[in-house]
Amino acid sequence: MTTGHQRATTWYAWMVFALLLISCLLIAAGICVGSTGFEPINTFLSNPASHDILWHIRLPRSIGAYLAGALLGMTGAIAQGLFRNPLADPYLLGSASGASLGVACALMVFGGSPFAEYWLARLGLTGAAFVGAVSAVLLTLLLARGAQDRLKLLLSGVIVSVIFSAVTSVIAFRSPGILQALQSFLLGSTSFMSWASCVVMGGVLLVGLIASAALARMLDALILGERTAMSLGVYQPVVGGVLILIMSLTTGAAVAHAGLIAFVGLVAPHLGRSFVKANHAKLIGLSTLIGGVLLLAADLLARGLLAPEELPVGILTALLGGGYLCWLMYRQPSTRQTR
Amino acid sequence: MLKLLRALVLSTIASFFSAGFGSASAATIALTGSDGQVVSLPEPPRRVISLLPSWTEAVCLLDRCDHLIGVDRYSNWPSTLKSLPALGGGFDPDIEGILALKPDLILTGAASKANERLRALGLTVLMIDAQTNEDVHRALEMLARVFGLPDQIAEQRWLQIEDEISQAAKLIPPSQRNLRVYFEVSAEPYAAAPDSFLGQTLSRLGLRNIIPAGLGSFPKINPELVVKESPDVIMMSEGNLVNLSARPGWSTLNAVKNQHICLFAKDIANVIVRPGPRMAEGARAIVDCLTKQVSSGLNAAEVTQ
Repeated sequence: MTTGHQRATTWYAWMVFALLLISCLLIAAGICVGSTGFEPINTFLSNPASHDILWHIRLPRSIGAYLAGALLGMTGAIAQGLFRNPLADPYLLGSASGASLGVACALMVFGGSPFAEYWLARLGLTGAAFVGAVSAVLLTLLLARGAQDRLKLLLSGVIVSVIFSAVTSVIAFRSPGILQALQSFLLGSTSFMSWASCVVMGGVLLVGLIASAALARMLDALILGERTAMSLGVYQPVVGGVLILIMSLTTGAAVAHAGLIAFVGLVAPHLGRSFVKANHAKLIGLSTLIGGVLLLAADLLARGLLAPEELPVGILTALLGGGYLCWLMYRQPSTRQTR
Repeated sequence: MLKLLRALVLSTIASFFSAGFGSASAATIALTGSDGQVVSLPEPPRRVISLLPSWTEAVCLLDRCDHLIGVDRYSNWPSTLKSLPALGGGFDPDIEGILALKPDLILTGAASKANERLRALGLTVLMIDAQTNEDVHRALEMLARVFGLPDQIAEQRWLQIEDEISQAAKLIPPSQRNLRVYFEVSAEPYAAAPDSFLGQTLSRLGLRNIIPAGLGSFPKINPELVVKESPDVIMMSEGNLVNLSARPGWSTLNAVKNQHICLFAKDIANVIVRPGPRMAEGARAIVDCLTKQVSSGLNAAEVTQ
């Protein structure tokens, strides 16, 4: 038993080491890929513009893509654990439609009253998306009257998503001029990430990791059912509430900076679960690393495939993630039969 | 103590004035973009990137085409710009390519995340939005100020555009005046309303827009409105033509039955829907279509396909 446990821990340590190594390699690759090719690397010392391209564009966007993916992977693992549902993803509680509504409102107000412009210029579209995402989750919590009933929470999330999407559509309908800008947000992109984005996302990721590490054992208990968890001293409404607040922050930060990135939050925990089973501390750790690696790898492809033009990375993650799930579904029945 | 205070006050006033005169002598160009952001340029920019075809064309109209060092992928006029690097679109610009070109000024047409990012990188971004003829006029004046040109130049160019539109209006045969028009900008359908620059051009040409005023520039309309108003002529880009007679009630429209449809080839439609120097060219394309009274070679069989 002990040797089995030890072997699992060693295996986990190796996994983490390998993922960290891949992460570093991908970030190094991220510095090399971009619309201006290798030239900035050759002229790094002599040309200040090359220095800016590497230091202010490629490095922050690579690290930013990694952090956004990590946030989504971590949030996905928490959501799937909390809702005991392998289909749960970070956008489950309305944050995606909240962020879209925030961006739509901001775009509509631009060129409106000077007062609104004053505040908006300070908040920016990123800030508006963050406020929208967090507000949507808080509204979901309010509608479900706390986190004690998970089914109610899921339903509230769906309701808030539908209503916010409808309001976004009304705004886009009334001011068609914002459609293109809104669509470019919905497609997801890492090309606008700065060091400030990295600091914000890094900070939120750290908070999320610490909190989820502290609450991971409670998630393990919740898997056994609410009654068993209660008998183990885990009071679900409080734990659920805290985890949902953390999810709103982490998803809000990722969505605000990267737009709507599909599937990373769903696929990363699934991949993680193929290595670790019922231990949430390890699962959340692995999902975080896998999420980062996935989004950064997708971002590198998005930058390189059509260079110097660039694909929105959200399209690529949807294609790759959807493809992976298709393959998983196709494979699963035959695996069961062989068993 | 009093002396000290007086000296302090005097020196403050002196520094205030010197700062004031200093900035005046440096002749800083200060402008407020459509997004409320103040842009100040120490001198007329020499390296300009335009991320909107309208402003690319406007810069060239002001004879500053040689100051452009990069444009967006949709800017295609004048043809000399083909040699310039294409830097993505207005909403998904190639940030890295833009930074590598070290521009003094970037012109954009809409609020977007890209503008925030470019500004954060220390670049100067001027956003100019134009929905009406007056907006285009103001944009020309603003661009003239950007390049340190006298106001008369912008005024002269604007009067030239106005004059050309008036000339085009004169070419419309009397039988075609007061025709009731529906201009579809895209197939959802979005229409050109009287408040837009395109609606203003239509009314300058003596045509009546079936879309009521007060709905904004390019409102999304209910196709039923077109059936109710039954326009004499329908205008749209070739790309929008998706089986018009299959739209509910449209097969009975006089314009559809009598082939009174102006179908503009994509490159001409592009000219017509750009608020900028080529508005007169767009107006002429509309007049040409009405004069010929043929729907760009399209026959009834094709319309009812």
